[in-house]
Amino acid sequence: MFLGASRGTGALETAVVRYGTSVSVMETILVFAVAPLAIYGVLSLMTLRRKSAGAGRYRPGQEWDYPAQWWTANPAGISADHPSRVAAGAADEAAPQMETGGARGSW
Amino acid sequence: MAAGKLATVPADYQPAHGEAVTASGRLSAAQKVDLDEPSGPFTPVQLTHIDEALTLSSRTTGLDFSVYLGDLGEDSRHNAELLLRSTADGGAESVLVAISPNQRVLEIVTGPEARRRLPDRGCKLAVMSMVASFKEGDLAGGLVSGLRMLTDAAGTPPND
Repeated sequence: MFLGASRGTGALETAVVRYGTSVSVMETILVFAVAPLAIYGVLSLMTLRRKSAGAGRYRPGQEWDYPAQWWTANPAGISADHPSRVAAGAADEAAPQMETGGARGSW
Repeated sequence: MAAGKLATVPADYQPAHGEAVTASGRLSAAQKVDLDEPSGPFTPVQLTHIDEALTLSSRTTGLDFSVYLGDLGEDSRHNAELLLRSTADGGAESVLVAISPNQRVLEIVTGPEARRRLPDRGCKLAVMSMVASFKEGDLAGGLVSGLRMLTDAAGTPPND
């Protein structure tokens, strides 16, 4: 303690806190220019890597050569009283035309 | 070759890449494992969202929602109706959302029973929303929002 020390010895013991006597220009550049640039560089490289990886995004008008897919609802997620109806097979061309509704659009 | 006999290769056999001739003369070869993964431009997260939307639509409305993504040919309407009729019950209570990216055509087909619940006006509204997303290249997002709109239009099943 400051008070205790002065009382005990009768003299102030002063400790000098200083920075390094000299900071070279090279150290200044390293800390304030090279380090931030390195951080920016790493982050920009990470964004580039993510863009190149992963499945290609669909672009309107691009060729679609994936196999045809047909999804239905997950049977486990439908309530029990909902009758389970799974795909029964190929449609009968000669079956009587039923009244279907709906809508269509193109892009 | 008789059962229980060891199939051996000739002594001067040159093993290909990934192959090795064992001490007994048997050929040990490494084969690449081809996982049966769904192919498509969707990420697993997008597939999960589509699955969630489909399940929620079917559960909320009591109708059978399904999504077809593939070629529909020249007569897209006819082929989409054929797909709907190939489902159980002739697709009476089914709603099919058929997307053909090659023709850039979207068809929503409702069966006779489903049509009473889901009027064509609601389908048209969903088509407009989905087409707007597809134009921007967002297939999964348009699909999910379209399914939500169809669900809202159909409502909950009547209590009888």
